[in-house]
Amino acid sequence: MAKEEREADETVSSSSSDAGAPATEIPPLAEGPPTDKDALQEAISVSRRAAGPPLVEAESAAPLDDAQNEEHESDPA
Amino acid sequence: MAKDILITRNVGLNDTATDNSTSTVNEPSVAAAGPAVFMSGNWFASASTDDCATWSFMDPETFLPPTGAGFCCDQLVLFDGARNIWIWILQYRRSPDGTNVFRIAVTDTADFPTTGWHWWDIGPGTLDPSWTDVWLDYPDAAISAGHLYVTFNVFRGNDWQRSVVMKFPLDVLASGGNLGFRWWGTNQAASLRLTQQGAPSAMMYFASNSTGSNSRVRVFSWPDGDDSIRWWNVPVTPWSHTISSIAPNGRDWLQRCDQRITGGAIGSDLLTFAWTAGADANRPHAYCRTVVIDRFSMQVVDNPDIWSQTRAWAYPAISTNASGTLGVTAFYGGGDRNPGMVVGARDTSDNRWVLRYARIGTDSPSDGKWGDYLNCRPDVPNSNNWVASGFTLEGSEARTSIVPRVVRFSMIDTAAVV
Repeated sequence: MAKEEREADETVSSSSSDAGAPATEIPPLAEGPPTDKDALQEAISVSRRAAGPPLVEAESAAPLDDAQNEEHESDPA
Repeated sequence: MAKDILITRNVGLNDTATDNSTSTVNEPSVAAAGPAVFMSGNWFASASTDDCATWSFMDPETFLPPTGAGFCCDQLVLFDGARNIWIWILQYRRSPDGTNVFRIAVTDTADFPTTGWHWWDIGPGTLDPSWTDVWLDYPDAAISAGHLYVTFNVFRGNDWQRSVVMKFPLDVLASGGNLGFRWWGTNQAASLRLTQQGAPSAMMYFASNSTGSNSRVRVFSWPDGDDSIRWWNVPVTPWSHTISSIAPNGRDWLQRCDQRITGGAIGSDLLTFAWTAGADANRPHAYCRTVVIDRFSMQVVDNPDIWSQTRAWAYPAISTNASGTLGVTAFYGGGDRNPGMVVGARDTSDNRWVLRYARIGTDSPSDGKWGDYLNCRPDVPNSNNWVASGFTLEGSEARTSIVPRVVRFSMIDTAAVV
């Protein structure tokens, strides 16, 4: 028997775009000015760029369901 | 029968393989097919045609012609076994006008020649001509039966605007024709994470846990043959966004880590998503929050978190193999242990993760810079195996001491161990 499928909360339509024909010509390897990798490493922000809507903490924290989640620790061998 | 992890290849890339162009925010990606292995990371790409015995450095700044404001950072590599094509995704720098492009480059030649590639450059304006001052960051990619799906965050300056998902026909990527594609964007869910498929199907699922709530995951589906995307809010046990772990050098090696989903997979009608969560009353250290969702009922059916009483787990990447078994790679460390790379798989018969160190680092980052993502993908043609990318610091805390790593592994019955 087929499983009953939960109805989607919402359905949206995608849009179309075109990236055109591909490029294929590869010239001899260009020797551009070397990038200063130490400067790149230094420039990396410690904090990542926050992404997403502001967080609203859950009002109540439901306990983990031990019936579904046997508590096996996961230390590697 | 008890299970174990069999690691068949475990190779660190030396300075010649990476041109010493390594970062502690390494973001390594890997794809493999038989003896051919392709790896990328910040800021290198490297290929092997002899199962990791030797490597050829491919400078992502110069191997392909420059575009936009020049190569930046994030890269992903994939292999489509149905079409025998290698896919290389490269993110380019922001130009002064605040926009950038990414490139999808493709070759069908497994010795990764300096010719024989074709590629397309795609920017925000390719999707919407009015997006003239925004840029794309933090890509993810996965393959279905017929398409390459790619996601990005879209930023204006440092302010997140939306997430986008794109669907590219693999046949066109293989043939090199005119690349029409479909896309969709949302400002309600960030850092969309796609599902890796051990047996590619005609459906892609993806998800976000950055929707303004720490008690739900929003799951999306996009069929290969349909232009419509459906989504469901799936309630999950709340998790903490406060993530940290003090390394042996006294520094927080997870200072840069956040709660976004870093692993997605589908197999046996089950969707699994994994991310780093902060310590809470039940988990004394940062851990890999893992939720398994029935794709029909869209309800959580299991919470097989990867956690420890003594150390932190972070940055999980997951994939099913062809049998639907879940493989994983993640970092494990903190306390007395420098960050190490671990691989493993879910033994559902015993309701546990079987995990093995691939490598323990000798050092930890001095400045909290680690991450941002790893890869775990199906190995080809060994469809019940996985290939994973990771890295460790070895010898010093300097970025040049980062050793990217390729691990090919499977889960076996312990009786098979000789």
